[in-house]
Amino acid sequence: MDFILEGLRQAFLLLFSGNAETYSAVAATLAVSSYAMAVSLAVGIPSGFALGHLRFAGRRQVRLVVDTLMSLPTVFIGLIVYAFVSRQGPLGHMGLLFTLEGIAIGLTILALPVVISLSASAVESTDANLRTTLLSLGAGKPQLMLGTLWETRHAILAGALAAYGRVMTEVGIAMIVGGNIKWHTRTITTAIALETNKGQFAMGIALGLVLLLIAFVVNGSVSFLRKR
Amino acid sequence: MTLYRLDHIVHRYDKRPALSPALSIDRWSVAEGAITGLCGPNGSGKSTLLKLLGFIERPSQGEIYLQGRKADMGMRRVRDHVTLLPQESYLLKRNVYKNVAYGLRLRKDRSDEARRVHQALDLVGLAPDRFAPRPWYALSGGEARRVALAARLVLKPKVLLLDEPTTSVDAASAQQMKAAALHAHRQWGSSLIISSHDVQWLQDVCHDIVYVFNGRILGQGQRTLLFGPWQRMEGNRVGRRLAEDQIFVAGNPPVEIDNAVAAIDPAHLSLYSSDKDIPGGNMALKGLLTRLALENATGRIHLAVAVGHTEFTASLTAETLATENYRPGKEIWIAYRPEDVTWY
Amino acid sequence: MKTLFSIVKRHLLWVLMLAWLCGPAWAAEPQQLLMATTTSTDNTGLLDYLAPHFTKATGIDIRWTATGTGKALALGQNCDVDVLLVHAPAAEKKYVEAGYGQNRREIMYNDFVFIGPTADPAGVKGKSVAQALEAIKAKKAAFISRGDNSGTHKMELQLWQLANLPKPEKESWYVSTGQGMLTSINVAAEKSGYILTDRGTYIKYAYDKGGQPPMVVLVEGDDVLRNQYSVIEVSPKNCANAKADLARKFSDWMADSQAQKLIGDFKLLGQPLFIPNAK
Repeated sequence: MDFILEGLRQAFLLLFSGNAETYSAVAATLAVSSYAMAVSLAVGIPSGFALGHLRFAGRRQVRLVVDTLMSLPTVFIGLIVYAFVSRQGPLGHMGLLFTLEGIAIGLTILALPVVISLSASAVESTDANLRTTLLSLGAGKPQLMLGTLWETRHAILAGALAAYGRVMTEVGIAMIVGGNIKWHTRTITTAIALETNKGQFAMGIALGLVLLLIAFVVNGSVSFLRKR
Repeated sequence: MTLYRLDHIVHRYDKRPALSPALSIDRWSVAEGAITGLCGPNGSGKSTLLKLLGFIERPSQGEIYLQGRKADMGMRRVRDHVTLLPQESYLLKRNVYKNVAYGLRLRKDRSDEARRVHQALDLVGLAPDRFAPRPWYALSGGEARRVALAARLVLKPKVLLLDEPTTSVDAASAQQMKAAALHAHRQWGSSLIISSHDVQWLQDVCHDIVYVFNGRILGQGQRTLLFGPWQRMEGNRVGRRLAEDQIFVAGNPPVEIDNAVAAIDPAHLSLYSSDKDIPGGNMALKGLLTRLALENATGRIHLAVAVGHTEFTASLTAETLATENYRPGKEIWIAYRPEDVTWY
Repeated sequence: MKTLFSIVKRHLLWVLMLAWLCGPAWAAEPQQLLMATTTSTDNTGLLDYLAPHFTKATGIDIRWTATGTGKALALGQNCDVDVLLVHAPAAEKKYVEAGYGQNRREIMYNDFVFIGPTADPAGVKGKSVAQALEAIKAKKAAFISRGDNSGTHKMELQLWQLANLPKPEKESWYVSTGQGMLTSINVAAEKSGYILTDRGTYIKYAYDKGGQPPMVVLVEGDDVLRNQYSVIEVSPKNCANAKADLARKFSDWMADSQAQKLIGDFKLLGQPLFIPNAK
């Protein structure tokens, strides 16, 4: 029990004493998660929207595949990405192993199905009367899509936050692809894993609290934006 | 001028051909600048018809002509001038002002926007100052319905389609909505097509009333409709018992009589105070005069005569009515020739 | 469609901006050496202590990923790293023979010790390795294994073999953690069990517990318990892109008298964690 209180104390210390190692891990976490989220949202929202909005042959099968991919174990993604970016792998020449870029690719694979699936669900679950209403007010095809997208913004945002949560807390991919290299690819979660391995439980808890604080800031700003 | 002309329209929600289509209309036209009423039981196809007329859905077969030209969903002239208030109106997740202004913004027609939005809200009886900034979730059912109507009125549409506009709203809201719809018709010359269970209202305002049943249009005007079960009688006639000793007899029945609907036009019903005056070859039924109503468009008086649970509609000129001294509560004979009954 | 396109364009711009922002940090630096090593060298803090000296002496930026010896060797075989610092002599020799590595050079050692609860329920204190393992098996006392194919795990399996005992993997008292050394020691402490550890990690553990650890050294000093650490360069014959020249510089520096002295001076609680023995 002691190390929980000790962890709380250390969390403050780490943040306010400007602990360079901690800030390096925070920066790495923010970099990879922002990159993964930017790509996942840019690709995932339009595809998810298309999947939920359009009716085409094989739609249900695609949906099933995407939903299944939501359950991809992160360690498995890590292994697959490792297999590709290892110097022996097909993408080995790009030198992505043990880089933040490599982690970001893995995290994108993790987040993309979540964004696509939840966006598709959000669009599918819109009121059938929304389409009638938009059309009856004179919306053309692009306006119908934009209007639907805007009406489902809250649900899509919730999906994006769910994906962000997975990405931020991910440890398997970051460990296998990133290698937990100090000052370079050590993220908050891999640092927690390391501190736990070293038996420094208080330090692990402190880092966990730092991660929680970041998540709080992100969710807080989204909730603020939503109000407006 | 014809506003709409429907040509061999068939609409199916289910592709299986074994099921009867949701809507099947061979030919039908609607006059421009008129108010047309649609009545009929739930599930008869009124909403489907309005969605086709509003170009929200494309008919499975057939063509719809708007002002003489073939029209289809997505066309500019359709989107700009035809608008439908669906049965379950949906408010966009934004405030009242933006809901009402949405159609204007789609048309990139933002000149004088605030004044026009406020005017539309005024029309449906919602004080603009109080309601314009309200979010979509802070409205009662009747208010939301009125906002939805205002969002259509602000467009000053050439064609305004109203699907059950006054059901499930309070009496005051219904009153405001009826007045607003009439305003659109009178001030801007909008053609209105209204589906409603409020037959009284339709009779008051409509130039024409259409009865929709089982996906078909059962003629225009104030027809009396009679549903089975039918029993075969002598001489290619069928009968339907309405009350003790009162059997409606009709001639020329279709081969398949189980689901057949008989209709009789007011023009073919004559009224008598006593059965002695009824000429030969006519069938007679004794009923109770229950209601008199003025048809605004023609100046004729509609009379509702109840025989058992069935209500027949007959019509007279005001002069005839005055001489005959018909009044509600009076027992009255209605007479018709069985061969004048039409079948659907 | 125009508006939809502009939204996509805006997202794209954002991505590009981010990529640009993060770009400099990701660009490969020229003098960079990547090493795979074992958790013990990293967890004890030895590498954090040595790395700045190495960079100062050679101008080479060294980065390492800490894992079990098994995975470290696999990373070398897959050409993902340039040099290895590991401690499983038998596996290392096979590895070099197979042509994956070259120039295996012994750098330092510490020794393995058996630790257990102060109460010592199986009474193994002061016994030889073989006697101690027999006693543990006879008493069915809890025994914790790394079970992760690490150097320590390989050593433990070898010890059971040397004691002529079957691998007790399926016994109820045998707990395989699959975790790092310190985590496994903590598991042993929770279960009041015995565990094989390298002395360096144990000293670090004792230090973390404020010098009053619940687990104490019970068996030590047996010849078979020596834990030899070696540097192996990833063979450029197997991996064309391996930075063999930088790896050689690291290997040379580690065997050099300056680094050897630094290793000998690295102490916790007044005890050296590793004893340099480069030839």
